[in-house]
Amino acid sequence: MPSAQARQSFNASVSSEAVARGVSLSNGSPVLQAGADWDADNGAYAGLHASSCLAFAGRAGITELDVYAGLAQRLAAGVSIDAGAIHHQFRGAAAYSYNELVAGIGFDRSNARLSWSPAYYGEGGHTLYLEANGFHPVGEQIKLLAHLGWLHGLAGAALRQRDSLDARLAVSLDQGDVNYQLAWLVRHSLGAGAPDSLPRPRALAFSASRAF
Amino acid sequence: MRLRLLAVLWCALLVLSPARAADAIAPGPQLPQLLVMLRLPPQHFHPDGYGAAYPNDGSQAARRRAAEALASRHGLQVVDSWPMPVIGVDCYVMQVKGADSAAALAALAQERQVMWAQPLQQFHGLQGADPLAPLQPAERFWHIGQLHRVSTGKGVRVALIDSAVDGGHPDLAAQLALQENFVDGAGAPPPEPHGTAVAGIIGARANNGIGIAGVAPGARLLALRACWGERAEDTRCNSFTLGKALNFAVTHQADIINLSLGGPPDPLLRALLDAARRRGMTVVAAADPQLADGGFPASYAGVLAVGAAGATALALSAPGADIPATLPGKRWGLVSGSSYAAAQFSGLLALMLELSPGASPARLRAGLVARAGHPQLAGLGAAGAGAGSIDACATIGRLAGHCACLCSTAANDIDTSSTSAAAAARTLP
Repeated sequence: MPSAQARQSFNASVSSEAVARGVSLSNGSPVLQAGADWDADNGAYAGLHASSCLAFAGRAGITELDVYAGLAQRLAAGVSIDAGAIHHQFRGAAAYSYNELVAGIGFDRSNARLSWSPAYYGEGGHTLYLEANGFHPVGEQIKLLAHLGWLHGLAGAALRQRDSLDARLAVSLDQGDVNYQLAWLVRHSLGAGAPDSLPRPRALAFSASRAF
Repeated sequence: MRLRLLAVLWCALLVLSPARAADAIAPGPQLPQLLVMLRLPPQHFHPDGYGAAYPNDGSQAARRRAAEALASRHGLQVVDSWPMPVIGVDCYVMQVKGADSAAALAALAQERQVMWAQPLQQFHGLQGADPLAPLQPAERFWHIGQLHRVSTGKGVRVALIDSAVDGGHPDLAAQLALQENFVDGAGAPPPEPHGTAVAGIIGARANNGIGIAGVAPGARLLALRACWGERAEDTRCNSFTLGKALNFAVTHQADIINLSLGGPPDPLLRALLDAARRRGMTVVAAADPQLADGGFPASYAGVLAVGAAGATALALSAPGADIPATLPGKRWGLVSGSSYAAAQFSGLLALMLELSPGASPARLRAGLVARAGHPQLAGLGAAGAGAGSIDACATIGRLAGHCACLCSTAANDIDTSSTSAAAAARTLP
């Protein structure tokens, strides 16, 4: 856990749907999320993030609790790097819990991250997820956001999951500590294999989040 | 039902949240103010699915709480804030209510969460007082009409951090890539003379049948308002407004940053100038003729200090008297001062950068050719007939690899023998 010099912050959000990497985790229903973060002066960080009202794999009432920690450093010329680990715990669907290691690089208006999981959603086998995020400011309060992700099975049972691309384009509006986002989502399966049976999200999603 | 419950919960969150205390900082006479820098953590992973927190770091509210607690402890009031990720700080403006500024600064220096605190300092434009005389030095001494056959500064992004620019001026139409207001954030401000003049000198449209030609009419101008003043000689800025504009220039990939202003040494601006230098940006600053070293920021490491010809002993000087310039209200007029010498020099650098894209400040500096009569660019006491220390034709000719100006034309004035690449022999390391 970070030192006593850490700064603590909290956030809460309402989203029209819980979506992770192009897969709906709430069957199209809205969810409430909350989180707490600690940032230390030396770049260490840790946090908790909870999502309620999830529904997948034929079950409802699932709660996800994410616990994460890592170290981020700002380098010269506006580049920052980040490495950390996260545990996703699903209460009500424990078999789907999994761990990931994350490494990323950030720039002024973009970042890229690589996540590796030894058992993605409990599947035996390794996966990689490569994502790129960027934004373009339109005035002081409005930003255009873009996300592109590529999920790839490396070995084991994860290979049975078809590789996929997911993308998200959003308009973000900041009003004080409140952020609103309206997003367009899409996922595309890659390569041959069994039909893609994972639940797709609605094309449009709305979220409102507040920092404390 | 669930949707309704979530909506109720969200409304409760909004109602229970405190209102934002910060108000926009306004120019003009005020109580003493301080800048307090809190650490801005580098961006890092958040497990929020699609990164709804991105690009917001999510900790701004926590920093504001910390800033307000600091302010309360030390007799201050938070007025405004602006995150500056290029130097890893969140900059808070605090107004001194009870305690004196020095005591508050000393107390803040003892706070572990404060990276540093400093006074909010005042800066001003470095224009001369007598702007009326009918000369066109940029054409006479630099032959910019001929230089434009070789380079117009096309595509070079020049950030001018100054007062408001008249974007509707016919000589500036379509020359501004963007305009931002860092003084009061109140939308488009009324155009102001200092910024409008600097913009026109750097990048006014050429060959449009009216007014003047900028030194680099092909450049894209980022007009960043950090100063204010209804008259050029009243142009004022402060650490905070300049810091915000510099932060913007650095994050928006300016090639050249023009600072036609001067003031006291300032820790925040030094940090941002360091960030600009690390990213290979070229910073040009006007030299204060009243100070031997040109003052701040001209004297800061890595900044190219430019004085008005005949009024400075600095290495770099450019025509600084009686320069035709754009003025608000579709007008033109003559201006004088090192502010405008710096603007002309920034335009010249834009011409160089078109021919040598990505050149570092050091390489640009090394590529300058001394004007005939100036055996070196350093240590000049008198810059002659207002021409400055730089041979623009030879400088551009050397980069282009051929004669940039008509030799017969240039040979008839003070720039004799300066029009060929051979003039590079007068360049100093």
